[in-house]
Amino acid sequence: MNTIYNKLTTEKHMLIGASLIRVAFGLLILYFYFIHYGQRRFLWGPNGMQEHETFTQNLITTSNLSLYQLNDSVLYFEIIFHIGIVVALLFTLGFMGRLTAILNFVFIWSLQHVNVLILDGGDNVMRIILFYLLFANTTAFFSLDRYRRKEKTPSSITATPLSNSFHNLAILASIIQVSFMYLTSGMHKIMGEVWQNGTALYYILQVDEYTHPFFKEFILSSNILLLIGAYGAIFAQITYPFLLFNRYTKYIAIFNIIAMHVGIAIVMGLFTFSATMISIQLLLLKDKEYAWAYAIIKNLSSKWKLRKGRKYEAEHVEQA
Amino acid sequence: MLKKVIILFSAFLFFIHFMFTAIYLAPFNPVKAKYGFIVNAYMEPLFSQNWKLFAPNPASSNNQFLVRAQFSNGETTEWTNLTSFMIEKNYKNRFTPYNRLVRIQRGAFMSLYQKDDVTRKLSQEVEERDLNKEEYDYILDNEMTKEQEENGINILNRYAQSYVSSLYPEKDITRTQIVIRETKATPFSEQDNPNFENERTIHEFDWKEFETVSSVF
Repeated sequence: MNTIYNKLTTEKHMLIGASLIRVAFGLLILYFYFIHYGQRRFLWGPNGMQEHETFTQNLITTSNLSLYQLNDSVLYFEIIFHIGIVVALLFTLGFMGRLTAILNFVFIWSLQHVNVLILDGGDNVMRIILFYLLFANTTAFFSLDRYRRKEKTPSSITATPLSNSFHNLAILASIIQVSFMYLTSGMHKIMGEVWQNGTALYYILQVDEYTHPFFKEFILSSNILLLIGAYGAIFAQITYPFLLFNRYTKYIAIFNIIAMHVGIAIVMGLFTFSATMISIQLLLLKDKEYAWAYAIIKNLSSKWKLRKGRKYEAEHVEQA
Repeated sequence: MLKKVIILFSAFLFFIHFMFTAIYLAPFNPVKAKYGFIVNAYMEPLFSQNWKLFAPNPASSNNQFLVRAQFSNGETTEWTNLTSFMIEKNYKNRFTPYNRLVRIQRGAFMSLYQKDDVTRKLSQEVEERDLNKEEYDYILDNEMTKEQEENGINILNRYAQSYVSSLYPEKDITRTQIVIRETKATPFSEQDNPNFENERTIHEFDWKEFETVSSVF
């Protein structure tokens, strides 16, 4: 019991992962704002896909709130939308950590609930994890905050048992959330007849929105590929939480999930969904593992530079 | 001391939170039937989530979303297909707005038939046991599903009207009509049968008075 308590309170774990996921989510949010910039009034505006009145009525029925409900003028909509973009940019850059994170959550929440039909599971899980991460330190690395702290005093980073424990619980919550997501998603697949008999991919690839003619033909040409796809997805999802318990099998879990999502991105074209899910895997590596990976890359690149230098030298010596 | 209490209490809340999440995400079961309303009240809307991704039975039919308009001079246009061109664009490049726009019509159309867990279970039972449907109508046709259906139709109409107004910018449009042509997938066992005819359903909606909607494009 005491060791758990100590682990929770003595230091913040996964600081690099938490910062990386902030950057990744921030970029995805900015992509979302900008790719639909031209359709913003239709998708989220007061006289768009939904009338303002219907939208506010829906919020009441679902006891929900959104910044966009407060006024039905186009001007107000434009102001909120553009502030949202600025906030998302500051969030990505890691400026004023927690305050920006809270604002970004409020703006994303507000935007998502104006129009749920444009969303997918990736946006859903991102929204929940953004909430958990409000309790974490996501600007320890790769952030303007870090840069500003360095300018002042390097030891001004506050690390109390309380903030450590909130940070660690927030990271753990995010990991459990994704584990639950994969586990239930896998369980529901097992309950489906076409997933059981391995023809699920055959049916999904018939749906024009979730397919691509080239990959459709390729995958449908082989029953073995169909089986690997269907059973592989179930296997990757169901085993995910359990593989995370061990520090070596964790890598298998991450590999499985990334492989699955790369497949979904390329074949089904659900690119942002996959990018979100792959980004979440960034939270699973410890700071030590990142340092280790960084050292290997640095070592390799310096070796490569050295070899290139030698080659250059050798060529020039020959010429001389 | 106080800090320690706060830490332990937050760990306790953490545990409770994921207990609720687990029940919320589980398939329909006795605990959920009894305490579901408490769990839902806690989880929604902040932690709303649904992970029945392409499961248990993935979508397998293709919906073509068609619209036609009538002008003030009485002329009616041909049907315009709103789905196929988006799908083509999405095949050519995945990094365009169409990547997500193409999914709106399916979502709106599906919401016409979506029900919550209890209502779905009940309507299944009524169907399976061949019960008198009228006796259960007061539950099955509740306010929630009615409102959802109205919203879904509204969205489809507004989508169509927004599109039509960009298609005929010079014309005075008085009303529009939409149709959803649903084509069921060819069953796996029939994929090599060239004579197989896919089951098709046409969902025809009522003519709708034209309203100006912010344009999609």
